[in-house]
Amino acid sequence: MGGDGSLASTAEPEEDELRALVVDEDQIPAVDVEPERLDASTFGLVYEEHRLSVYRYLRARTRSEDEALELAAVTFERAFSHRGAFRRRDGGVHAWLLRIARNAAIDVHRRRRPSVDLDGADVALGRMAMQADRADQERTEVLDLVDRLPADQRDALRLRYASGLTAREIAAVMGKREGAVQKQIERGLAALREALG
Amino acid sequence: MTMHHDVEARVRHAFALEPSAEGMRRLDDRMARAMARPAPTAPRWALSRGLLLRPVAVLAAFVLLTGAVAGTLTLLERISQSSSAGIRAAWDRAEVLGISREDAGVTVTLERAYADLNQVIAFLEVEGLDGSGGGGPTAVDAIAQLRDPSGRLAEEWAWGMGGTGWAEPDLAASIMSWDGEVAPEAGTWQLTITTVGYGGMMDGACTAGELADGNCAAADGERVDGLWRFEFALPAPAGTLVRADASDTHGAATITLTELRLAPSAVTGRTHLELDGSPVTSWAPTIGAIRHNGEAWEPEANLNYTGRTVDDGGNEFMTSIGVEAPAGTWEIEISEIAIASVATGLLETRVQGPWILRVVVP
Repeated sequence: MGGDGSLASTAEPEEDELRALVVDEDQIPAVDVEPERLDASTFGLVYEEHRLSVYRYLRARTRSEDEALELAAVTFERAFSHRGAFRRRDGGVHAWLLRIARNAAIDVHRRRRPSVDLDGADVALGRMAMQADRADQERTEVLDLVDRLPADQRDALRLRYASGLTAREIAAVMGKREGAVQKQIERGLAALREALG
Repeated sequence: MTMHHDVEARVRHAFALEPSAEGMRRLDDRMARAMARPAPTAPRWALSRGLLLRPVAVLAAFVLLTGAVAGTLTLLERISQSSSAGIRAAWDRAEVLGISREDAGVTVTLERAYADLNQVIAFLEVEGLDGSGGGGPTAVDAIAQLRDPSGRLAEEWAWGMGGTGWAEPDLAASIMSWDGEVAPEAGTWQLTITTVGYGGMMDGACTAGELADGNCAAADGERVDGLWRFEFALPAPAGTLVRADASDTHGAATITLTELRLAPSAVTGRTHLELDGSPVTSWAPTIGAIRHNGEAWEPEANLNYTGRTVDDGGNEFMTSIGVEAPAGTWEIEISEIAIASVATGLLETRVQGPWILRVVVP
């Protein structure tokens, strides 16, 4: 079968082999976590380094852990498939991954219902479930307030505080100037501060 | 630390959500499998999210058409003749336009445009780009907005975009396609290009969403921002839409073909799967054969098609070759289905067929 129609039919690696690919620390060589280019041998380390950051960003944008994990998987699969396209000048590997994650999330929301901003609504649904746990009420309150911010402020805050990106890296992710990102963060924090009292 | 340090701490705490150990294990396993594959190809059900970019055609034959053999053919003609049968049919049937627009030192010419029920195709030449695109299958990568005669943006009806092209030192040519349910309506189309450059699109590194957001950089060379706007009239898109209800059951699996769109550049079909009467939403069929009036409908060496998951859990295939005279009996043979976990996207099982779906087109 030619073309894209055929499904991969390679033999599945053994479970132990799979583990070795990602968690065998004895096999981890010294690695530049900000490589100029990515190759298959270093990608596993990049994944280890950034998987939590990518997950947290996507978790802040989505309604459930499962959805965030699914998008995280899509993000890293896309990144791995197109690792040859990575260039350090694109803002570094962390920003590159978050850019892919952000666009994966945007594509999913756009596909669900074009022209309607479901971002906030989706996340709010997740919050309702989360709120059942009293210990999470403080967290829920903050996240609900973040969801009410303008889209750019909201996303800049997620990238800054869920994923730990610098303003420069966020600028690379969002396609904006560093100064503009800094302003968005400042405005978002000011709004939250006022709302939280 | 800023004057908002107290708020920062609360926000940071709020975002510090940990995945479950089981969830992280699934993610690790899935990535380990992805990295273990010899060919770095993401699962179709992952890639099918969003408006995809896909290579339109293989340019392996292009070399045969260069140099003396190419004779007086233009670069676009050479690309088109090296492409799939569907693209060749589109080139032959396209409206000849020759509309040029210049901005930022770059001239973009819309040489031809074509629409049928399955896709819209723009044949473009670009002059004046600097950079490293010279001499090879490096497409011109354009951020483009397409609006149909009723005013709908491509994002509202197209599920994917395709691109292929070739670059020479002073001239690049590109074929862009928008795949989806094209409205059967004659009228004026609008194509607005805001960025051109080399790379990016052809290697599939960017989804259309990434390109539209300007967040996916071209792999090589520079991009040039500008405004190249084209308005052009096209006749009503050719093709036949068939609403069908053709089912076949094999074991516990019943597959139903609900729609066929038969057009000169491609054939698309939509299928749904039920297992023991319950709909399955995460699956993919393998098309074993397509027959028209009892004859294998594979004029090219291989049946070449792309597949995607549609919103209602169905699957849609799209061939790289179309049909001029669709009347008669069509048989779609599905040789195998793959079913994936909804939660993880991992392959759960494969089921062998065949399922044969038969539709008569008057």
